[in-house]
Amino acid sequence: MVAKNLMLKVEDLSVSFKARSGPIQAVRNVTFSIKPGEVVALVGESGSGKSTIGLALMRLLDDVKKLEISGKIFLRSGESSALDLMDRSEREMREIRGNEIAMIFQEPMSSLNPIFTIKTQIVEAILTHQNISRRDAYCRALEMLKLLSIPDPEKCLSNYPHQISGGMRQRVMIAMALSCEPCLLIADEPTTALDVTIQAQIVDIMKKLQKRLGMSILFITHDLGLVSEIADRVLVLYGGQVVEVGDVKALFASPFMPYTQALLKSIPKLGCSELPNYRVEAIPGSVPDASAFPNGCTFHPRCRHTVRNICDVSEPILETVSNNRQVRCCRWFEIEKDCVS
Amino acid sequence: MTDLAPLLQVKNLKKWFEIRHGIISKVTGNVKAVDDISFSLSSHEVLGIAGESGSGKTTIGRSVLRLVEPTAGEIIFKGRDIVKLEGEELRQFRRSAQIIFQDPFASLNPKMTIENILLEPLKIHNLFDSNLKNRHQVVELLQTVSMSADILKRRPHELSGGQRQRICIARALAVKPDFIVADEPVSALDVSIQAQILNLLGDLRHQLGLSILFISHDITVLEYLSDRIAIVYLGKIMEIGPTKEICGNAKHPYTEALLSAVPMANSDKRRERIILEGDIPNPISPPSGCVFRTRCNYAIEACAGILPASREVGPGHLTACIRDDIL
Repeated sequence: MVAKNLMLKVEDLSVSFKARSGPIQAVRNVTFSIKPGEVVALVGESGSGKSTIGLALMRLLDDVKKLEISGKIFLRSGESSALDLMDRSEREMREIRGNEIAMIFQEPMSSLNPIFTIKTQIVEAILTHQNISRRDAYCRALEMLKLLSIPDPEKCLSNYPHQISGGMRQRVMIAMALSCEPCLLIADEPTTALDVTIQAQIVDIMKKLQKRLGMSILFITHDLGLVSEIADRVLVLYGGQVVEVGDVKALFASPFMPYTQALLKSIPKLGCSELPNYRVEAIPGSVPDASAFPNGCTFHPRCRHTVRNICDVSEPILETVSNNRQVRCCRWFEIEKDCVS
Repeated sequence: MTDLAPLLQVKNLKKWFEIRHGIISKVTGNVKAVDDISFSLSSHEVLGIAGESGSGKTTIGRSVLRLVEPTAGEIIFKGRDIVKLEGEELRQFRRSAQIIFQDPFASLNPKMTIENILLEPLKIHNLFDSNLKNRHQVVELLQTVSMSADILKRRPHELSGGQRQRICIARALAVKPDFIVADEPVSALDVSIQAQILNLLGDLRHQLGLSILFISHDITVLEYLSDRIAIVYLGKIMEIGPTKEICGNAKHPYTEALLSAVPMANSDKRRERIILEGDIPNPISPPSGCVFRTRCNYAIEACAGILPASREVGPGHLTACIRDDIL
């Protein structure tokens, strides 16, 4: 078998937190891969485990007490330089973080140190990972800010984080993350704290940079609209499990999993005032409790296609439906594929 | 509008927050959060207010309830200027105007049971008489927001975000108001829960004949629920009009950009994106002339000179842009 080159291969990743009331299963047997240069989106509501996956990939959960983590994470699988991230020591991980995989977070203000200038922080990040002079690191930082179309980059570098706006801060974070040319960027809700017009700017820049640098991106978000703007492939998460995988266009055109269908129908569409009697369809109930998942399919208590003695008994597997398409539902082939568009 | 006098009429509302410096607290500047805004709201109408953070939309909502004192302007509610109300009269006004806040985790007292939370407004407005009657009222309130009476003895932390927001809505409805300010009521909720609350508000509005000032940064949510939409930017109304007109036939460059920035799950209908440059300017020193001109793709020299007056471009559709040749 010819091994396909993958940027990231995650196999059977599970994360559970131990609590007094029992284990809280944040991530359950998640398997996926990212090809070089591909943008994969992880979509889910709060509590679906999407951020935990991001942190687990960076091995940032190691210090969390009462945590159990299992599974395999391979970087550049299929190549001679392949790495199993789960086997790396903390020291080795430090080399990988920033150099190979970089991460940006939701709230740029809390990711930047308020008492240092932007310059100090970006230069420090570059010097930590690369063996170059301070002077070169400064030039590098300047170049990165220019790449992110920050107006007046010299001035921005001499500012403190509180002196620049939220959109600029997020650009600085992206600049810092990309300054060592990682091959994989994990972006955890990078635009959620920003206004729509600023979000449009950031997404536009990320798309351009991704093409230019050819990196892979794991884009974590709850916003399905944003996914269709940026991603090539989508993984839909529910209750810590992957419930549907597919190429963006195909998945949004005809979602198979009832959860994806319901989620797409629950968002008001732009232009809905033109449609007579248009009504968003709410999903009843709420997100499941990660310490007590229902039997059978995790989504069955909220699903309108639930059949008794099937959905509440047997736990569906992630079935491969067609090329690049997987779905976790016992009844995907028999329920109507009422699409959203 | 064929209606008689509107329920709420806001005329030239201003709210400037003073910036003070030094030991004698000298006023050194003003944050013009709301700067000369006028609009009206008819009975049974939902007016959406859309804007980015810092545009002043929350301040508008709080000013019309007198939760912040307006700097200038008139707010006429049922024929009376509420800016001048005091004491008992203000309390009477507050009975007919209520608010729902964004974060249901922060707006419910964690120490109180749901029952007490719902009885509190009745106590404040002296509507609390016999325990039994009030208890009945509370159960009814829970029914209006589709919740069962067995949560009465629970406390907020035992409820999910969506349930909490329902309690907030029930609390606002407890005193039977005519007018509700809903300040980002679904922004803190999960995607799958948002629709529940949106539909609940939509239904209640018809059942109870409510007028709602619906504040949101999400224009699709506003389009879904509002009859009319006002687009605010830097404390000023850029465009106001019937929802269909604003979303389908926008005449202001800012509205156009705002609509095009909304990411859509339906990628077939991908529109051309207009990406605005820069950030919202500092409200302490807003640009001269049109406040949007620094980010506008259509700005010409004349935009810096004059403050654009609202001009009518359709029935009830006003836009504050001097260029009539662009959209």
